Amino acid sequence: MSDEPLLDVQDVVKQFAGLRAVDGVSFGVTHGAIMGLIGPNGAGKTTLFNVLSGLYRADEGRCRFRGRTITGAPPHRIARLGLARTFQNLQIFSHMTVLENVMVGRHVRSRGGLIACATRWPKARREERAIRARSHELLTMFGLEADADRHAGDLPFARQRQLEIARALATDPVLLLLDEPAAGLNPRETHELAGRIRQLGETGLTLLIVEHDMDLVMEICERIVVLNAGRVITIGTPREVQGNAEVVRVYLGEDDGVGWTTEKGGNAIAGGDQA
Amino acid sequence: MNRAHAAILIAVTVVVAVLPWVDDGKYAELQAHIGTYALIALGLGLLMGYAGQVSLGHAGFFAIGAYMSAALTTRLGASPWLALGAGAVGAAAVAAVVGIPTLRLKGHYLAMATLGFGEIVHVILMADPGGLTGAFDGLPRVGDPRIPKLLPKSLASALGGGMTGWDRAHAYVAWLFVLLAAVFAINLIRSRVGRALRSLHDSEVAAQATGVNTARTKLQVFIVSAVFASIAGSLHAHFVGQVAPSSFDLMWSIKFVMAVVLGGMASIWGPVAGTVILGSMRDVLEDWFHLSPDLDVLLFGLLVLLMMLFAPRGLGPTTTALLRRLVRRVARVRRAPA
Repeated sequence: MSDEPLLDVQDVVKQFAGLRAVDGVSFGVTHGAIMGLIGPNGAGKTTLFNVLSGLYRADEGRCRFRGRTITGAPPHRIARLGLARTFQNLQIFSHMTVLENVMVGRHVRSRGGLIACATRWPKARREERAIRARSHELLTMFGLEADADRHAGDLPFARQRQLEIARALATDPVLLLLDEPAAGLNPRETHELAGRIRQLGETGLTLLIVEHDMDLVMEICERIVVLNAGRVITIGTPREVQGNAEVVRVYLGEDDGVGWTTEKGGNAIAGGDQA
Repeated sequence: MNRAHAAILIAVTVVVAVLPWVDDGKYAELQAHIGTYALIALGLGLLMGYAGQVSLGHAGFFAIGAYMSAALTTRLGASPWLALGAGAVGAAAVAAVVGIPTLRLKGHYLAMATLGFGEIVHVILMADPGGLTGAFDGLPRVGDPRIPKLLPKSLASALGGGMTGWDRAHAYVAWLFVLLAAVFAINLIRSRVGRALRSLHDSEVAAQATGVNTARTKLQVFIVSAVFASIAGSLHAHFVGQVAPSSFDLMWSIKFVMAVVLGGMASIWGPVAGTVILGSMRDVLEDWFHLSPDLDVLLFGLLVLLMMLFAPRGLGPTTTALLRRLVRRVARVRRAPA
């Protein structure tokens, strides 16, 4: 087990009505790494996230997490094992308060049953207090404390993104999957996000990040997996990936012109050795 | 429990305590019946409002409690409270059998399965297998001992004696169960299990990825609602002293759902209020308006329809929202002169 990466993806295939959205993907994420997962639209990034978190069942292949096979396991079990995620299109619990959203994250780390909860059994009450305390801590960490009792749906977009990360962290994850965490954020918010991600990395948390903002990916990720049409093109450091001929071809070859450019206007991939 | 819940709880307790003495106990019997139905609606409201699932077979669970109580007390001489417990356990087991395969699936498979379940129960009651259910006439059958009372005779005597004394005792015990169930539900909703339920209502995928076992949580609530219905059935058997299939057919299952819809899903007191309206309608039509009580179904259908058109969240949540707006306006008016 010592040699095995924290997350080991092997030959994973996921198809929808004949389309192989993920077509034999293999890679590993080592403990404590901040890894990027990039690729053009439709490359299979989010599908892969859905397979990893158990929302989709892989048609072929195997995923191992912390030395255990998780392919086919239900999502709640994978979450309990320490894999948390956020969603590209926000999936906040909009009718619950900001605090309650994070408290749901503590669900896997608490155990009070229905009867104990409904009768306010002393043990359940103690647990409830602990859940509340930990959730407040996370809100403070994310600067959301003042909004604790607001409906989560009323929060501004950028704060909802933060709330999703706080909720994911409430599950005490070992590996955190972030699905386009910078989408919809302005440059200042993106900068804050980068700081936050680096901070999380320093605490020993392993991160796997799908992101379209190339500046961000190149800045914070130690290694990057590049997907195209459901397959891995290359895996390497940001510099190696930027210099890879096939990666350049995939990105430049996109005729729909979807913005694979950086904030500075240059093309992160074609630009090669950006600072 | 917040102040609003506590206030309603106290208000309901006061009304329920006083009502059996109004007009020499004229309303006590009706109050007892409405109490048993309110218990069903409360559980069904949890299922519909918080687990997002519908049961079209709750009359079946109502029947399980009623027939278990009737059969165990008359045939085996079991204590009524023991029989009530046995009915609840039986209903929970049956709910698990119906719920486990269907609640794994997305969509309204539970509604379909419970529709079938309710019909099967009704068919079994009519078929009288092994003489257990007494077919059309129900239980107790001719020659059987009577279904015993749930409460000691001394209590009925203390409450005025005679039929009225019993009616008052029944009204109190039924509403004691309703109040206990309401406290149970309020606590549940504000706990980790309740949060899990509400979260899956907002985003099932996020709930799952955050670690909520959504199928299990829905199943638990379904079982709770079945147990509430079964207890209501046991109370019904002891109150009436007689159980027959006509009290447990599909129409009843639908009435329970309608009471919840009118009162408001995702609300604790809404379904109770809906049941009070539905349950008292026959008497209101007849005594107050001198109309045929059979107009109740028509009127109730109309009420539900209007509710869906103008206040689709139902009576409870709509009232809460109106009150909240009123409080805010009053606060603003008070602040304005300063």
